[in-house]
Amino acid sequence: MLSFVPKPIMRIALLALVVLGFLLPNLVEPYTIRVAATILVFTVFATGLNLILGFGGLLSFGHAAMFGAGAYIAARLMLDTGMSLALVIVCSVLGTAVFGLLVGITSWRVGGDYLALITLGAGQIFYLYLNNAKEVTGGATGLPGIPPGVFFGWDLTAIENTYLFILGATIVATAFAWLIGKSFLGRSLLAIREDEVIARAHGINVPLTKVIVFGIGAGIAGLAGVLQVLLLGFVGPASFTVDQSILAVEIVLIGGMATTLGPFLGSILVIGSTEYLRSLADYRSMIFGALMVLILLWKPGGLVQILGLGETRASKATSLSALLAKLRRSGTPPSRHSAHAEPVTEEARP
Amino acid sequence: MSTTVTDPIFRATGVGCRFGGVIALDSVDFEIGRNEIVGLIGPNGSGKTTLLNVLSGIYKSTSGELEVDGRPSRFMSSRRLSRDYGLARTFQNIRLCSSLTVRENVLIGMHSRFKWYDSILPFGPGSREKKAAANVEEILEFVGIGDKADEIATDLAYGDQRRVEIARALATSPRLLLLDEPAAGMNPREARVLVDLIHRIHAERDMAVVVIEHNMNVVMNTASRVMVLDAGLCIAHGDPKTVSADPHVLEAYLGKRFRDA
Amino acid sequence: MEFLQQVTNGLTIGSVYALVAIGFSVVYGALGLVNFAHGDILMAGTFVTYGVYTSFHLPIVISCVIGILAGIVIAGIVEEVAVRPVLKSHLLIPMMTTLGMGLIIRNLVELKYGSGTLPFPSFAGSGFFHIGDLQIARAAVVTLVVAVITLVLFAAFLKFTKPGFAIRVVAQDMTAARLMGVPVNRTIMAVYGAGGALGVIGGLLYANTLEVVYLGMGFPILLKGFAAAIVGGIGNLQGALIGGLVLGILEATVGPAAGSYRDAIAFVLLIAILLVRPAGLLGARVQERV
Repeated sequence: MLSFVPKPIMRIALLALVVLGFLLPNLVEPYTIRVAATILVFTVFATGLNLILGFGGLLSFGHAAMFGAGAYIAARLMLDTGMSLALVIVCSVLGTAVFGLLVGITSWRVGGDYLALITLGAGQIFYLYLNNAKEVTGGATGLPGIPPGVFFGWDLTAIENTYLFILGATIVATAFAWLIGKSFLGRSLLAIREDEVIARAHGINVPLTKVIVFGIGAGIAGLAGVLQVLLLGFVGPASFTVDQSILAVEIVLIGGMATTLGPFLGSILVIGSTEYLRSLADYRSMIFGALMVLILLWKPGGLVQILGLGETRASKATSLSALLAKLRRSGTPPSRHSAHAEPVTEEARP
Repeated sequence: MSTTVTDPIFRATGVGCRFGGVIALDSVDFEIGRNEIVGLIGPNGSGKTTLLNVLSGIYKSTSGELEVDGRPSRFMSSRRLSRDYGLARTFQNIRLCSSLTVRENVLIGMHSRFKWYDSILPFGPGSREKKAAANVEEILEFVGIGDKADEIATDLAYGDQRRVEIARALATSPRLLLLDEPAAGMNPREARVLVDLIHRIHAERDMAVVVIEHNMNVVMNTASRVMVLDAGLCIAHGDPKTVSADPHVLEAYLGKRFRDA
Repeated sequence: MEFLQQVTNGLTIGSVYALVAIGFSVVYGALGLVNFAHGDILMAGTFVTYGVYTSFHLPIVISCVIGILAGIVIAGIVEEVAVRPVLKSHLLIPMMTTLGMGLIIRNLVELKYGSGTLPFPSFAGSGFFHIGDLQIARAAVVTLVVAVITLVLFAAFLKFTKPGFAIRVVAQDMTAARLMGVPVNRTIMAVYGAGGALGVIGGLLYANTLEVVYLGMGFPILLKGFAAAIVGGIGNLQGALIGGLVLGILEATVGPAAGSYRDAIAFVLLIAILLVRPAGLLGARVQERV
């Protein structure tokens, strides 16, 4: 849609958007700021999943657990210790990254669909833990009354300041993900997503790369967890259900897999519409479910592709090539085959 | 039938590979010397691709010994063979990453050059990313698709896709390049260009090449040594002229009647 | 004696898990695809039964049949819309499209019936059978009997009928099946239909045991079904049956000790099996093909 706009102009527009982001507290009322901050928190949350799902092709249904781990670690640290916010962030991000690495290690053994089930199970166990370990997590009521943070002398009590802090963190997280996506690590992940055999045959350490991306993705989700705590001032298990994991998958898909701006655009649509289109609330999951299916079928690059905002590195839906069943049962994702029917030769034999 | 190679890069002794009851490779002895071009031919289903998969570590052989540089390699992963021993290959059914450009596909071959910190510092003067990009240009130029670097790899014509695969394999700076039916789907003119390319790879890039091919022109014009597989066994071995006159080979390809005729 | 009682209870809920697991496994076994809409399909089918029974006052058995047919139709639609077009693309894509279809189905049911818990007409009647000291609810007996009959019929369907044979052929090798003239597209539809039917039967038995239907019922049963299928070796039908029963018995015997972590049993089992023996207890590893 916008692909005819020359690149320099797009860059200026992006810069203008960031500037607008910083000026927002002076322009709108607190409710809008709160919504914008929520959108940004979910942008960070989905940015982590985008690395795992969009780039690595690893379907994780436990991403809300990573989000939750970051939030609960931050909440406990802020309640129990007088730790400075910077240190809280470091601890939460690293703690969540370790948690993510542990979950990621399971991808050492299993791939593709099994991994989706494992992360689903891990997420459910975590959710049960949040609800039941009352001394640590406060059980179903959660942990209220978390003091507002102070970031190197900058008091975040006012919503405007919280918002600005979240905006800064979002830019850092997005830039970080962008760097990774551009680098050899991003390429390796895409190669793994498309064809693990190729990745291995060209020297890529497939299991290690998968574990690392789980760690990085979890760390970013952990950051989102901290931001959530700063924004809400409390944590409760309801924010970390499997529905939240599915929400993150929706955001990544709708925004655009393996794109830089995808998580942001997806969050605007998914979170923004929830806030502003209350009349559609009853049809919400239907609309996003349908949008998910439509995007996967026709525009795998999501909003980024639809708006023509960047290159599309999404995994495309194909209806090419035979030999469907071949890799599926071995537990590895099948390669996206070339645009030619594969010759039925010895390759096709067991 | 035995041609001894002094100081082989790769040696297979009695290698077999079976899948359940199917014997894809029975027992094959095979050596690849430094800097030679070996042709590997045989009827469909004779085990050529299986042999290549075993050599490159994608399948594990079920019997026999494999050595690379004199070290047992039977249980080495394809990653290790690629990274540490300079083994690169292309695939019979072209396997390119369809969401990546030609350039990015070739860059995948350069994975081993990068250090972990390049992932968060991919830019800046003298970065590895820049050097690698320059190298990609050179390789693409070398295989003759320098002008297509920014196209989506799977959008290219069939013959060009094969070249991208070769470029990606060359990007790993291999010492041994395994080509699985590089001329499949090419017209005679493209096949001639391919022959030229294989010669140039061998001469200018100083590596051993193994070519699996059905196109006899390609094999006979490139290989200094040819091995013929049939039903998982090596049935003939030697220089191209001798092999193509070998009665066993004629029988395997054309049936008994033709041998006697 | 108490232990025996628990085992009996476990077998009852286990046979529901087994039905759901088999419905899920038949799709996975044939196509290698995880159907994330399975839970919502079975929930929707159960709601159709509820709706038909309460608004038209049809006999419960006929309502159940209509619900099962609805399940088949919904599963067929899911297949047609969200699976067929992406059958040959990356594994991720059909998983996520079925997830999207599940969201749509759930939303549609919610629009009609809301998200509250509704009383489900028990078709088994209440009351208990007594065998010695053993006390077995009528619902449990009905569940067990229906589950066993369904599974036997389904096994016979796969083994002796032409569509059943086609399903097995497609599961072996879709390309070869197509070349041999098996109507692959129709067969894939049949696979989803069968999966939907088995799921709805499981859902009905579950609703019958608890005497309620609710919007969120699909997801927990689906998760248990996943776990059961994994335990037995995903794609393996006998395995799914055994997995379901094992899971049911484990929940009934170990569950009380696990307290509020009762539901975690299934997930711990799922993760442990996948990590230790990804092919399941009965499965065999398949070498990756290049």
